[in-house]
Amino acid sequence: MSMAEQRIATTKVAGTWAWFFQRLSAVLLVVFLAIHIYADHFMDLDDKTPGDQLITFDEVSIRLDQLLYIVVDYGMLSMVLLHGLNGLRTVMFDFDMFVKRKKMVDVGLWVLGIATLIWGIVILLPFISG
Amino acid sequence: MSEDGADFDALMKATSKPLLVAMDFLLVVVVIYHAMNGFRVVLFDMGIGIRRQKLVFWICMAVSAVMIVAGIWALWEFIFTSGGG
Repeated sequence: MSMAEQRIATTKVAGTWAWFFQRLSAVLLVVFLAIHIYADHFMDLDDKTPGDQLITFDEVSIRLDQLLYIVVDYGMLSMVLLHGLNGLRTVMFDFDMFVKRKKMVDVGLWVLGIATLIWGIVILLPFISG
Repeated sequence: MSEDGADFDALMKATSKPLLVAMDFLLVVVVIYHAMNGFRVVLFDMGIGIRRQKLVFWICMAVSAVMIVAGIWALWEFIFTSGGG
């Protein structure tokens, strides 16, 4: 099988929706990451001098009083999980791993993703209320 | 400050150790490479540049290199003198 044929074959295993959502989440991640990197790692640097603690609970809390940052943080977390776990699934199928256990892989990854998302949502709550 | 706040600030201080800052840099490098390589793949999905794959590859890698250098440049003074986060 040529490399191109191999690619088509594995895309068939992973499915068209997996292909589509991998691209959709990629585009959204570029947008979220741009906001995240600027807001969290550059915006407040002007007020800092070398030696200051760069990220503090109080500053993060102030940011998370604004709906924009809550949407960006939770949106980015969900897209990272979707993109990461979906990518892992595609790579597994590329290497012919668990292809016969596709249903089990799908259920397992969904459970892992949703559990991690809930964990992440809970972790940010003290910042939002604090 | 709340207990959560004190814990978080202590964690952020711990992550400013040189080894972890080095790992942050590695993260920046791999994320930029991954994003630009993904962009290249999406271009080919849309049928753009199929006949110029080598050129597209090197353009994407050149853009990656510029972005990585810009990131290092912007944070340079904080890397070696930072007290936290």
